[in-house]
Amino acid sequence: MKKTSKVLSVFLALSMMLTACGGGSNNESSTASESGEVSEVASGEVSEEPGTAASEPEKMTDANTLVVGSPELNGDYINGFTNSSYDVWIRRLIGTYEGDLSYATYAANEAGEFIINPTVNAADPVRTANEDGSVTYTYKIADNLLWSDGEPITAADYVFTSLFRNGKAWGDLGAANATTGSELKGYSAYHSGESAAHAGLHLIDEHTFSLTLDAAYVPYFYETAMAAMVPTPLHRYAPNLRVVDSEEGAMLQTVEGYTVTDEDKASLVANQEKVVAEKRKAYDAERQWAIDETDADGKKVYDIAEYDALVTKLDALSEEELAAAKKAGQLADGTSLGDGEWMGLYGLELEARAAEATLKTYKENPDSMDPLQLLMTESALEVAQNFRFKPDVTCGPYKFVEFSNGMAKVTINDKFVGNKDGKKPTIQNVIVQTINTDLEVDYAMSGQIDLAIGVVEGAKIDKARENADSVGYINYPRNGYGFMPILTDIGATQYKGVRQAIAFCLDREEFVQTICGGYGTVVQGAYGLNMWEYEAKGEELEEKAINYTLNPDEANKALDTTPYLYEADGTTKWDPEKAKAAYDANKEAFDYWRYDENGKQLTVYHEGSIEAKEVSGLISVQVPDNAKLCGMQYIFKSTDFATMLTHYYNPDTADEKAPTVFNMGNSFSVPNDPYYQTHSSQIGADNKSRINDPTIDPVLEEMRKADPTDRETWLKGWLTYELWYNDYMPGVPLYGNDYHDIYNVRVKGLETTPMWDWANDICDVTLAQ
Amino acid sequence: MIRYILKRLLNLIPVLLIISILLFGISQLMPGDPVLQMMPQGGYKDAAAKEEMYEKIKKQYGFDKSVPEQYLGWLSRTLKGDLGQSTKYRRPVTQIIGEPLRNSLILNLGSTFISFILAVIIGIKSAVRPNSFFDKFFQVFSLAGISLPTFFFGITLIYIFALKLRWLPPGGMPRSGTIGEWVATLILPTATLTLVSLASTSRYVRTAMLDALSQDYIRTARAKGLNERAVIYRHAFRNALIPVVTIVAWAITGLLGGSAITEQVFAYKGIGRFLIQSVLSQDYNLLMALNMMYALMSVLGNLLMDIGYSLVDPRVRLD
Repeated sequence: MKKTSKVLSVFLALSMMLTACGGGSNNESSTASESGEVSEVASGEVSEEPGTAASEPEKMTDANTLVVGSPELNGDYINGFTNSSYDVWIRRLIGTYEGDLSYATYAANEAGEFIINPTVNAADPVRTANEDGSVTYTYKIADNLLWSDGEPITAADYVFTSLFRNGKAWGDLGAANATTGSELKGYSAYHSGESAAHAGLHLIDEHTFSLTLDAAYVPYFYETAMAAMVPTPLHRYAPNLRVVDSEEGAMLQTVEGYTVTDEDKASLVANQEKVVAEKRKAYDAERQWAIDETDADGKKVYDIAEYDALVTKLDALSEEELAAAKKAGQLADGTSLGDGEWMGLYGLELEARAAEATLKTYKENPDSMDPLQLLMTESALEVAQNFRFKPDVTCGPYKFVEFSNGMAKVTINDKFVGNKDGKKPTIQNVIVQTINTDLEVDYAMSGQIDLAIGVVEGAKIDKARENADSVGYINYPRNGYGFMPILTDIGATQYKGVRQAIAFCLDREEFVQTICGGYGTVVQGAYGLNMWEYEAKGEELEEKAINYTLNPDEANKALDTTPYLYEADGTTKWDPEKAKAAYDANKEAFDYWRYDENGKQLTVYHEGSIEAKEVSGLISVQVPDNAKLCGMQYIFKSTDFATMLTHYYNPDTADEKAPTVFNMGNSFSVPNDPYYQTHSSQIGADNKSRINDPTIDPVLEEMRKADPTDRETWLKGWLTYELWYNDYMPGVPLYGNDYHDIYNVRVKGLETTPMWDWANDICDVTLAQ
Repeated sequence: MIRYILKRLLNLIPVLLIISILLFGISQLMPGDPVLQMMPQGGYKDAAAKEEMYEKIKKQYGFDKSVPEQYLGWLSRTLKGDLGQSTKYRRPVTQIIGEPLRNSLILNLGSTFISFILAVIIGIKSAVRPNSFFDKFFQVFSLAGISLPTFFFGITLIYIFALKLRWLPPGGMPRSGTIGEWVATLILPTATLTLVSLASTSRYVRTAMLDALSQDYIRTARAKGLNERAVIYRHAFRNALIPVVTIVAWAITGLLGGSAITEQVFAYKGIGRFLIQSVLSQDYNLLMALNMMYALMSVLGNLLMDIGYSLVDPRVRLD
């Protein structure tokens, strides 16, 4: 018994030890706090938490707190890093997501239209068309806007937004928004570090600033979206910096009296050494590549001695002579600059040399150090490592309290002056909590949560509709859909007829019934039913568009426009009757496929994700079987989403069996400009279907060039585009859900739309006592 | 024994090194591009902007280096206590796993302890009076517990105690963080895990006890006139502990392993969900950190098991 007791004692001691290691619930401060990194906030009482705000938030109780259920939260609260639409709710509430709650100069309204934000603008923005084709927007902002810490929001904060996010330090962190605002004049020079001033920005006075859109991007129908600007708390991000104006544009400078400390100097030297090492490494790698590169016969492609000789001559040139040589492709003495490789390598060498020169200067003369670079780097790191997870100075209707245990808490910001309508929130606190979404309607019914957002499952919706005494709902069509994107330049799907045939092999109504539980619709193109364009032109569109339904005859007609017209011998015409007979005889052993004249079989490779198993399952049941009747072998395989994404974004064009059809979800942005997803210039960027159709490019260009007030030109282009999409079929829309926002009956005043979620609407929502 | 333990701990170093190489290699074999996972799906001005972003992220996370270089970099960082940056959450792994690890530990510790105590009591009582009502009831119960999936217990408990009776919260984490709220939050997931674990553990104890009670030394003990309590607890249970030690050691190993299904059902922020997400999102650093932690726990669990055997079985000697 003694030994048994010993064992139990050991077990208990171990348990206690592990518990001690784990820590209690109210003393969780991260180990990182000592090292200066962001600290995870204690999950203790909100009112007991030290240092989260100037004034302690009111204790969160059921009566004064709105609780919203969410499937997942990342805890990332600024733009530029992870992308969770649920974190966006909190970002809207605290004003770090661009919109009227973040004091944007222009913001989307409930219908998704960009309007002037009257709360922010003391006067309507002035649009000036410049002689060089650029367009300047001059804003005079209201003088009563405040940050959550009581500091005034000034024009400098608006200008700082672009100066910070387009700055080199922020870009070097790989932030996704580092290129936002690239339509501004002078962006490239500022972004690359070539110019300290941003030519597209001017700080006119404390409440006035201007921004200039580059001539290459204007006129543009959604120009106001490009011209919209939000403030960034300069005093919080970089307290030792200020925005100043110059003839060359706005720029950042250190505040008067700031001196670089010895510690800062050492840090700057260390940073510069890293820059030098990186530049040198890039140059060496490129040089080595040039040395090693061989052609198919194993012969050297480049002679590095040729480059070394060229460098001597290039170094001797003045800037003007170098520019002239680049333009001419050769030097004045006739020496060729090669096919671009040498000049690329020379560019890297110059960058490395410049970095080395800067380092040398820093070391030899520490007083020459550029404190601006130091402070910007420090600021970028601080924001990325701390502010990002615990934004303590914001401007939205709520202030951030904490994110811990899968829960984000915010409390009302009494400095908020109002949304676009001048309204302020009345609910004291909001919690967005990770829940088991399988039970979200039950939670809402029992009062465990107040809102279950974007419910799509039929059974849950039915339950909510049947329990009107405990929950209410708002439904609206999704501004997007589940669809099958198709690569249009490789494999069998490079032919329009094949893509159309795939659409004719689908019973899309079954998707609506099975995936949406009947709460959904089928659309014919790349649009949402709530888009303002659809409201204006939807009827005409529906009338003219092809309605793809399960129809083997139409599928065969479509395939007859492709090279796949023959049987295996490449000469005998493929016969749909024979296919039907073979299918009826034994569809499992079906082997009567279409071939082209070279004997190449018509095979389509589809890759679906295991995460979307219901949709993938339905596709794999429907299409491979239905496609047999039109002689199309449809091979479906499932993989994880990450792999599917890789194959979709970076298809292996050399692999004949590379998948060219996928399935996933899609949401339309506000505003929605199809140029990015469709224009041939966007292949490699947002044009993921790799569409290169010369007939649609000019339509998209003309749409964009419409004056912001010229709705007719835009609408005409939009209709043409949608009909083209419906015919060209670069993606098959499968189902558009009917979203249901389900709320506990104590929630009043909620009015959501596809473009206006509950967080947008927070100033209109109240809680019944 | 201390010398033995030290020797075993030293032997763990090459084992862990080999495991880390295997894990790193396997994780690199996973198809898909983690850089693409980190990038926004749209919003690029042109292909050059997307490429610029791709290259920056690739470089920032070290994906531009060769696999051996990446491994050595990972090893060197890990030995210094830096587990790297999560590619999904884009923040240090140490920051991400601290809170869910603690939560999993709290949850699993409670359920392991309760289920162990109950399993011992039920197992002994069942074995002492085989085929009694008590024994038959727990035979059926344990069979059901082993056969039914975890989520079934979880959902049933939520339905009864949270949604119908409204005695307890249906899941999620405590909103205010008071001890009372923590206890209320933990009751249902702990009960779920306990039920599932109890079912199998009590059967092990019962079988081991039945085996022990049928041994000659038990007959001898009874013949000597020892009271039944002493026979059962001092002679039979002590010998029945050997298989139980195995289970307990593994349970301790699993304390930080998370309980992904239960955590999912109760939306409990534990480490189990993070492991699944790290695989799905190809979050290599997070995946490596968690897998190495499990590997470490596993090898330490084995050591613990051997020590446990020596404590309960005098025939086992550690040299």
